[in-house]
Amino acid sequence: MAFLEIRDLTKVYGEKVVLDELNLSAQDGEFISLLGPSGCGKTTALRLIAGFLQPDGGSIAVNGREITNLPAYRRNIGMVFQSYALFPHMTVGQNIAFGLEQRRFSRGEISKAVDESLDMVRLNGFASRRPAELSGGQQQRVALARALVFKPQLLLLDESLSALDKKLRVQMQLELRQIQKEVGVTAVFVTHDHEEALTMSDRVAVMRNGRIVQLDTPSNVYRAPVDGFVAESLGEANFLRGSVRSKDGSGFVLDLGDGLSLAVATDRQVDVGETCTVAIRPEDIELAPARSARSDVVGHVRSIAFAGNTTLYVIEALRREIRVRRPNSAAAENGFALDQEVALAWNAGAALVLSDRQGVS
Amino acid sequence: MAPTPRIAGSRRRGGSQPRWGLLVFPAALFMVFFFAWPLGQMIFRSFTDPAMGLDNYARFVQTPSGVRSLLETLAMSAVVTLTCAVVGYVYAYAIRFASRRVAALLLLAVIFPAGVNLLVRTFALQVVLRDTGIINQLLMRLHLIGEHLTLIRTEFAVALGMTCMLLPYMVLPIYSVMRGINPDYVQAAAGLGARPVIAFARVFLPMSLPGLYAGSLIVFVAGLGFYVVPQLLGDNGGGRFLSQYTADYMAQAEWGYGSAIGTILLLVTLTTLAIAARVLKVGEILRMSFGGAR
Repeated sequence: MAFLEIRDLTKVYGEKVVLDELNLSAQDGEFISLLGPSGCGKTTALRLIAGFLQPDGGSIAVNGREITNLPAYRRNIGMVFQSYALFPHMTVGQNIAFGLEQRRFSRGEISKAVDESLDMVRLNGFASRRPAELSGGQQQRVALARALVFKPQLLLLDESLSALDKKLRVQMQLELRQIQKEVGVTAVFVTHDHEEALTMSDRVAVMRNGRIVQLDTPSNVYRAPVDGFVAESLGEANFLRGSVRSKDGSGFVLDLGDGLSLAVATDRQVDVGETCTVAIRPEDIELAPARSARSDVVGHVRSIAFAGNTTLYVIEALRREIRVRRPNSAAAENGFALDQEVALAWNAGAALVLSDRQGVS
Repeated sequence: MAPTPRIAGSRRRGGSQPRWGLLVFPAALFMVFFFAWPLGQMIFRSFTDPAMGLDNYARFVQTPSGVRSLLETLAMSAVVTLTCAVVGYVYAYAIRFASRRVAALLLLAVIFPAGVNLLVRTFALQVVLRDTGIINQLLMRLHLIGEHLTLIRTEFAVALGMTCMLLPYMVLPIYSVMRGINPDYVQAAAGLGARPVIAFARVFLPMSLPGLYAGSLIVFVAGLGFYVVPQLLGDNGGGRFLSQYTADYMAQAEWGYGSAIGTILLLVTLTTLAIAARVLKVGEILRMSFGGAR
């Protein structure tokens, strides 16, 4: 049995089913992200695990012990809030000590543990400061120290990094993950930022409408999404929808309508006549001057947006707009001009063939 | 004429429109004529009428009824502040955590009476509390008492009346601060292992104290100047409130002595505010209660 075992967890507000029989299990020490748009139920799921909400159905078990009906204060779960919720009338040290005091540790044990955890988050000497005197990143670290100091069975993180600016956020992602590994605590992390989810997690749970659509490793959800929603949740993608006209050993030909067709190289099995969607990530498409290339897909550059390390081109091809993102470097200049005729090409594995049951319109 | 007043904020924004400061002028003029001038008159008279010197103040200190009235006023205001604090805190807490509809109703119930004339409300309380009032009638019908209770013309009636009148000024600042407390804090305390009582005592209560302090200050200071309620509900044969005491002498055209008592009341009020400003950082508290805390 997994360390964290969530079965058929359901939460209903009036008519709205916020969580619809959610199932999730995590191994001891695993870092799992719940990723999804706002309103998908990810925060509700986290608050149910923490015990701040009561479920309308289902069960939650941690380390083999059912906690579904335990009040929050008896669950032994650490949580880092989006707002950090550091008690403003207490010092950093008192904030961290709070959880230990509730567990009736001796004064000596408490001061030792507080020092150790300040050490862990590299804030030695900050014990007597007030939260308001700290920067956002420092407050974040205190919140983490406070959540971990009493050695909880589970660490919950609710959009915990979203209040930080981008540069600090990336740094904190790595730091947070490193601390979580050192401590060895199982963590559930809620985020709407796909890059954050991919960077930090052992596994990512992509959520929609109160359910988990796909739960897999970052590279698998990115490279092998089960449907268009997952593909789009994890980054930009071009979607091409059509029916399978013919197939052979190396792939199939997709009929896009209007007399257009596209050869798709894949090892995924499809049936002739089946409708399906092919997703291609913008960074997987290569551009070349039309004359020099051997590609069936040719189009015109309609817009160019320079974004520092990459350039985003919008190409009009196959009677639609296809986004192409090319890396920039000093060595390789992306020298395509507006209205230039270009050829589009991609590697065999780049075309993600999605089942069409939940395709993106 | 004074130079154009400048508001600190306008300067910080680049100082492009310092003339906005002129807008304070009509209000300032009003205050000078209708507030500062009469107040100055009162203070001036207390030292000059009937003769120059501190005679009026000496007389007050040497009159036992005068000193007693000052002490009684302070004590009554303190008691009323305490009852308002207890009742007001619980009431504000109830509003904060009630459903939206009930909260609106509770809030209306505390704000609406404040719009009714104080005199009218005091007469209404007289009707409730008098010997043949509804409280006595009810208790007698239920045979809980054989003879009517003396409720009116007691210190109890004054305390009750003042509590009724001043409760809104306690409830509103407390509620305002409570509403600004993110529920995350209490949940965070629970998540760290605190039972609800501990989470309240160690997190919610301390965070809501600024509202309690602000309300207490307003109620205490306002209570010092109460006149109508003790006049109509109090035992007028016994102790007199400082405001009543002042009025007594004013009615006898003893302007100098009456002004001295008024000045003493003013001094007590200012002292209270000064102490509060020192101890409680009043500016911060008022900003938190009315400016919307984070």
